[in-house]
Amino acid sequence: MIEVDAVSKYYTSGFFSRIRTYAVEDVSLSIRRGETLGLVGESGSGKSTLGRMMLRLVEPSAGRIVFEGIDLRALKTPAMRQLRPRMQIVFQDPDTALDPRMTIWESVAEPLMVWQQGSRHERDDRVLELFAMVGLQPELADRRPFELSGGQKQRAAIARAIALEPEFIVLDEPTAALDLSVQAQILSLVQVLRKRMNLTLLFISHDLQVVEQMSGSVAVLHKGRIVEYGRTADILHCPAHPYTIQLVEAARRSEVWFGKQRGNPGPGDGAG
Amino acid sequence: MSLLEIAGLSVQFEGRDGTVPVLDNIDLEINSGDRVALIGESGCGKTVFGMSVMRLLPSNARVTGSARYAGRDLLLADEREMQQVRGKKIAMISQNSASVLNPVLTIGDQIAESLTIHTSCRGKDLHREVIALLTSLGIERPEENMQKYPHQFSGGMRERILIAMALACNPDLIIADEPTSGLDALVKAQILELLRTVMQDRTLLLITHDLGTASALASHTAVMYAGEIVEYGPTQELFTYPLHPYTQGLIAASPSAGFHPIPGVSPAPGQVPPGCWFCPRCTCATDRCSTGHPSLKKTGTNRQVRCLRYD
Repeated sequence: MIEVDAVSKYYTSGFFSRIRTYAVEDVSLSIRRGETLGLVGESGSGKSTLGRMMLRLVEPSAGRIVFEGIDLRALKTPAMRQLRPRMQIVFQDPDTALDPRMTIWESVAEPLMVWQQGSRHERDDRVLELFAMVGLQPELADRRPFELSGGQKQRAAIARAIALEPEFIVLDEPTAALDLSVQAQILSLVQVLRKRMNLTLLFISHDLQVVEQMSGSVAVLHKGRIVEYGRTADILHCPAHPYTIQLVEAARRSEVWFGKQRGNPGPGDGAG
Repeated sequence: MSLLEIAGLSVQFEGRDGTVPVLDNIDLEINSGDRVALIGESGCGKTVFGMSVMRLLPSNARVTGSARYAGRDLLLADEREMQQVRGKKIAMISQNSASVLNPVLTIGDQIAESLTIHTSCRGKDLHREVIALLTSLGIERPEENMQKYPHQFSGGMRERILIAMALACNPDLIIADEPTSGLDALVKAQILELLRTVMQDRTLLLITHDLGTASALASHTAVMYAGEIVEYGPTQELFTYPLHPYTQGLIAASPSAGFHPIPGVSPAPGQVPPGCWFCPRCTCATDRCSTGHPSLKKTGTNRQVRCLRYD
């Protein structure tokens, strides 16, 4: 479905000598249709840059990005524009992703307006349907972002991303700004939508436990390079790179603390 | 021995459209040496609770009840008395290290600030004290780093600096508000490890939404929902045998239990349903749950729960 081939992104600085700072260096990976790839790394490792390059929101410095057999970097702006409805992104911070002056309804309807989908009535029906798909109450339609909770805003951002029935979505830490209980809601929503719409996903996160839940394969990015790439279960079971080992150990340790405190009851135990 | 005893604490905010209740009748006793976690979702009033004890709420907040510390009700103390308490007796590790540090002062100056105000430590001694604090929190090359400004540090390092500032005057109680939020998984684990070490023999009130952080640090845990405490008990017991359906839901939503979400959203302040406030989201609610508001009941020696099923 989407293939990343030896992609780099560097920023040059310096006046007399050009110094290159690599944000992403020589990264190759591929995602098959209907699959979810987890992309893990610490802050500053280049995960967001890579995700954005895959949608050509950031221009790669070198390498190829092939979407359904089409080399994205070779496309001129109008041709790229025609491809945009098929690929979408959900950003980390729902506060800055939604236009504060627009109502939630307007934000979700915007892609439909831009792409002139159907009549006004059909659009209204579609927005209502999208609200239902992401679990937003229709009463919230006329509210503006500041009147919603973080979880509701993220639902709206997801509704907007799926409005044009895309095939590929980059989810850039969609739950990093949310509480654990709200995170669980958003993750299960993403799972439901993925199955229902047969979505291909790039799921960016710094949290191994979240990625373990969401995706069958994972790429670990460290200082702009992929240091580990394969099935999530394998990598969690025997991580090879020192960074991944640390990451897995950290996750295990928090589980141990939690498990020790918790014993091992299933949810709902202890109910009278 | 009880260090801080909070009884019947309620907070309302006055706005243009009338008053909005945020905290309702909170009772919480923190004994010397306890590490108490206050857990709950965003907007449930956790942070307001910490701020009300420190008397840091804005002037439109109406606070009632009492918060007795060393025989004195902090809610009745005047500003001069409070300045003697803040930093020296009760210190706070605030949320969001990026915005609470002063961007135009070096971190050495910021750590030295409370020492200068509350102790007679000056000059070389002060310098030595700051270096010792930085070293104990695992900040390398303290001599060099104390001359730097907050923006020159990563999130994890800034968190360490905030912890150093809180520990500076060796306070009786530390209130830590979401000390690990916004940090990477790896850095978070490091900060937790560090907090486990430095809080070993201290008294801590930990405010967090992260059950993992609470279980790693706290001896006791209070669960807050929509501005009231719904369950309280020793952390291990509470996580092993959660009594309240909300606590059970929080645990099921955690990563290691597989992210099973609690349906619905928490009520906005002032818009709580009649009866039990958790009732609309509760999977075990019965008819009586939507009429009678349960009180916090003692079950067993050290546990309390607010649910009609345990009446």
